[in-house]
Amino acid sequence: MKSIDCIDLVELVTDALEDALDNETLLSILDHLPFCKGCDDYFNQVLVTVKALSQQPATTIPPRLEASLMKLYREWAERSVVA
Amino acid sequence: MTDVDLHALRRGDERAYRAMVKEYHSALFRLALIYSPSRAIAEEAVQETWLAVLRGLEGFEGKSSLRTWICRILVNVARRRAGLESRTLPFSVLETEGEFAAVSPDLFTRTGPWPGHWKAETDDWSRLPEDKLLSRELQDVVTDAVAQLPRTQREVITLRDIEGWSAAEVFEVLGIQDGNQRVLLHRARSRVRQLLQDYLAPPVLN
Repeated sequence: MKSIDCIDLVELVTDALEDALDNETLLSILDHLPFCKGCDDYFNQVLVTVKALSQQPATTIPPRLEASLMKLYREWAERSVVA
Repeated sequence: MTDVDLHALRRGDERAYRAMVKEYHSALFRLALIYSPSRAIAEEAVQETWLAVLRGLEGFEGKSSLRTWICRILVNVARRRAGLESRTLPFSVLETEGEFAAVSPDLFTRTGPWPGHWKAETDDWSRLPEDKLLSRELQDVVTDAVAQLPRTQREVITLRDIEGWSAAEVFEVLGIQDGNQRVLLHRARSRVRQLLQDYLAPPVLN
């Protein structure tokens, strides 16, 4: 099996997470990680980053904009919806 | 959004419409901000989008999901308002040029018995408490990091990682193929990770 260097592994983390690697490359990563704390920690840092991104707070709609969008809808419905 | 909701919308059901406006607002506003110099202008783009959605509602054939259709309209509206081409520029023109390294090559050995290996230990984030990850301060670091990204990277990471959309949905909205999405996502995540690292363990200045 081919071996992989840390400097190359860090460029393959996204492809690995996206399931876009060929088997041989994926196996070389899986073979590397348990013996390399640096890469194991790095891989985990990327996972934490993705998790942090997923926790970005949602923006709630300002009441003024919501009211304005509801008005648009009522006007549209008056014109377009056949009773 | 289901067919039932779509039917309710076409029937003039205000409750269904209000629920949809609220549900999609965060994603639409986040996307609009990418092309807008201010929150007010991003809100205008969202408003123009809903107007276009209502105008196109009868003709919507359901070939894509309602949310990808609406987001595609938003992207076209916001890009046009920003004076950009509504279609995605060829990917190669945008951001594939130039060298990229997820981690500075200076952090790896060049010679010795293990060339290409870490020179020093990497920070262990496995014990990072959940409340730290959710803290306002850290989330602001993430927001700022994403805001600094080049536009196409920001589009992709916003939909994929912040909104949690699939690669197929992102293709429908942005027209960027999987392989190119992965390149953009990789660069974007790498940059955000770096800025998070700088925040969690500031680099020692010599």
